[in-house]
Amino acid sequence: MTQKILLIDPEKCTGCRICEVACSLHHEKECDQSKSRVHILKWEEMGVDVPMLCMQCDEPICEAVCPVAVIHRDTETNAISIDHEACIGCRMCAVACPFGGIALDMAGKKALVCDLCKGDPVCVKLCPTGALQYVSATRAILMKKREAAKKLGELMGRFVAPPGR
Amino acid sequence: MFGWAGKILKVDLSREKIVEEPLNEDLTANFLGGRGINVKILYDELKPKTDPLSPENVLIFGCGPLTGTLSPCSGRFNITTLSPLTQILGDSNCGGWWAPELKFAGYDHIVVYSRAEKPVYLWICDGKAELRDASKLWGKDSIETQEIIREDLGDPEIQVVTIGQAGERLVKFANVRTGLKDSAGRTGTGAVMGSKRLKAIAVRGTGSIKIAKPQEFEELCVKLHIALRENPLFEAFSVYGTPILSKILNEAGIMPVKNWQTTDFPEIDAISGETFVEKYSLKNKGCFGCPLHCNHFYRIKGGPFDGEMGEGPEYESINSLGPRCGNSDFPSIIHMANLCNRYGLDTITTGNVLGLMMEFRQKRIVTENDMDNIDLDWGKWEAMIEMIEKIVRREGVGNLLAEGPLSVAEKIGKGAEKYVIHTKCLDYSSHENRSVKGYALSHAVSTRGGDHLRSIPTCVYWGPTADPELVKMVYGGVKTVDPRSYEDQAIAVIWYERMYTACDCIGMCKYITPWLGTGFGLVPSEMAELFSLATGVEMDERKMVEISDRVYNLERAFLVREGITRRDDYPPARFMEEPIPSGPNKGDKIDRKKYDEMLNEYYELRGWTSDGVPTQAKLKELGLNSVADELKRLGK
Repeated sequence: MTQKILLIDPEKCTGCRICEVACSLHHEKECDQSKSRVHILKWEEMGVDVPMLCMQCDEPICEAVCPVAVIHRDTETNAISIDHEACIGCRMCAVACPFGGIALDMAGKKALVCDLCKGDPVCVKLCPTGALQYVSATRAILMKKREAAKKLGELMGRFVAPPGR
Repeated sequence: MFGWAGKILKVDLSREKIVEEPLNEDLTANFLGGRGINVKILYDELKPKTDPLSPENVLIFGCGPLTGTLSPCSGRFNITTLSPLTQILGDSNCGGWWAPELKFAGYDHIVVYSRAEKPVYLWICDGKAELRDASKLWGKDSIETQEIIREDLGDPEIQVVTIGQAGERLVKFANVRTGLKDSAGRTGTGAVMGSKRLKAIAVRGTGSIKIAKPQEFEELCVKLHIALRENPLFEAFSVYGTPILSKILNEAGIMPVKNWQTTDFPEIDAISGETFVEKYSLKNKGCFGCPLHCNHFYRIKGGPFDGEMGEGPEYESINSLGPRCGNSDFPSIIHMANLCNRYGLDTITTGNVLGLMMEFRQKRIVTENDMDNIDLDWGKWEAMIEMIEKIVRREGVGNLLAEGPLSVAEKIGKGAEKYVIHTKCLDYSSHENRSVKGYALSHAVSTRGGDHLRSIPTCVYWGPTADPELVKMVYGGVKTVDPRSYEDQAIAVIWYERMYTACDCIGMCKYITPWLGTGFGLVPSEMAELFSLATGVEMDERKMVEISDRVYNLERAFLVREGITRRDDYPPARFMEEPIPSGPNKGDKIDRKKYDEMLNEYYELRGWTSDGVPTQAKLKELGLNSVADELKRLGK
């Protein structure tokens, strides 16, 4: 099976923030958006809602910048993972991440990053519209292509199919 | 505390004094939160016969223990005050994102007293609160205000409740607003906020809501979210939202048209939910924690409103500014709903007051001359917009209309009052009552006046097609209820009253309870389970009914103290005098004698006297001893 990735689709996002509260409840056992690994950024008057979280980069800058080398990749899920026991709380990872993908728990003094819920992300499970999806990378790319090609397909179908069919 | 944030913020605007108090457990145990705790505070702190727009009125905001949690549709808060429109209980429940933010900032309730010397807004951030100058916000609409505050305070995540110009100018049906369209509608809470010169409450919180049993709570929430999404009705309720009702209710003959004269709107396809989604909606929008996302982000293409973008409208706004004013021009309806939201006007009452004027003109009770030469007539949306502007500015005839439909009719005289569709001075929301006797009862006895959000026994309306499990829950057994019959209605009215009260107390949206008589939605036992796991306070259906009844009886006692009696619990005159002239329910009206019997049955089931006063025994059974004493002292 090909590697799964967590894919965002802002056009489908309703801005409901279920993902944020589900993430914090699942990981931190309380409802607290500031401790969520995922955040929805809004431009209300333009109707734009964008879920943002760790992009699970192939060459993670957070890993590279960590002075105590506690950031590494989980062998099973391929997710970026932080060893909180050894983390010194310097926040360099959060500074370096170009997406703001690292959240900071200021009370617990630790960096929080999406661990893909060990392969079954709760945010994906509860996203009502599929704005967050956890799918195989190949399939995700083909899905996007299919969506983009749909119009062309429809147009061609019209030429190929005899009228009335 | 688990579930609750645990604090009440009390703000005295004239003394510029802010104090916080712990939310005491006696209060949460007996009244839960939201609407329940709000009305307890109002009852205790407001002197009877207070002028609603005087500094002595109290304005209360309250979240529920589930607000801001993973519980489905938990973005709600309740506003409670003395209504300037009805002179009785002013009460409104609202969604969006403000309420969770208030909990994250550390507070469940805010109580606002007296009146500021000059316009101010309240800024609450992580356990700290201060009053700030709002002079440059005064005069701004509700959307501009939110943007300016976010920009000034430098945080785009700030959530704001605010009034528009309507609240500032004390329009009696002004709403409190948040976001692009979420509104604390009905009963004019925005005018109370305006009278206090409190322009807005801005909130930012980064704290947490503690959950008593986090793992079990998460499991239950996941189960319920997924069950809602897998229900066959999910698509209809989510993709279309409430606008899907236009066509359904029109076909069923219970959608009001032309100020409630008829129930048949020939141009229904032009304003249907299907048309809205096809032509105007760009995407769905959901309130905090809501899998249903009944709201829409729209864009109007072409015509005079080309390029306009915004959120909404709901069925209620569509019907109020559309069919009830004989208007089938959808872009104008969408535009006017947005305009009302910007100004902070209640779309339902706006539609009712405009529709009323149109009927007065039709009946030659008024002329164009009486309306500042505005050609206000059925379907003339340009004139409607002109009139909305006049209402907000309180200019000319707009100054009269700003007082609400009943005041307009009283001023005009000539028997005009009988055309106002209201109970207890609140004009009705968009559901025809004549053919559904349970609706007639639920609207007429509602503790905030004529409206469907205290109770709308939809299981009765859909009669044989109602979900059998739901019917079993309501009646305790298999039953087919004829919506036209006066029998077996009161019990369903009370069942929905209890469920809706519980929703408003715990902080859950009524849109995910079983409405339209379907098997869709969360039921009371699930609500009790969510509450127990979140708060660690044991709750079951029986206990939840007891608390709902305590809240409902306290509301009724509040009304009784303000002078409400049996005569105020009747449907509007039109519903009892004029039969529906056409459509599937032609000939239906409400028979006064039979309604009387139904009302008696309701009072009996409620434990109230034949005057509609909660009995001493009922109040004491619910632990409302001091209320019982007060009513006795008042000779009620």
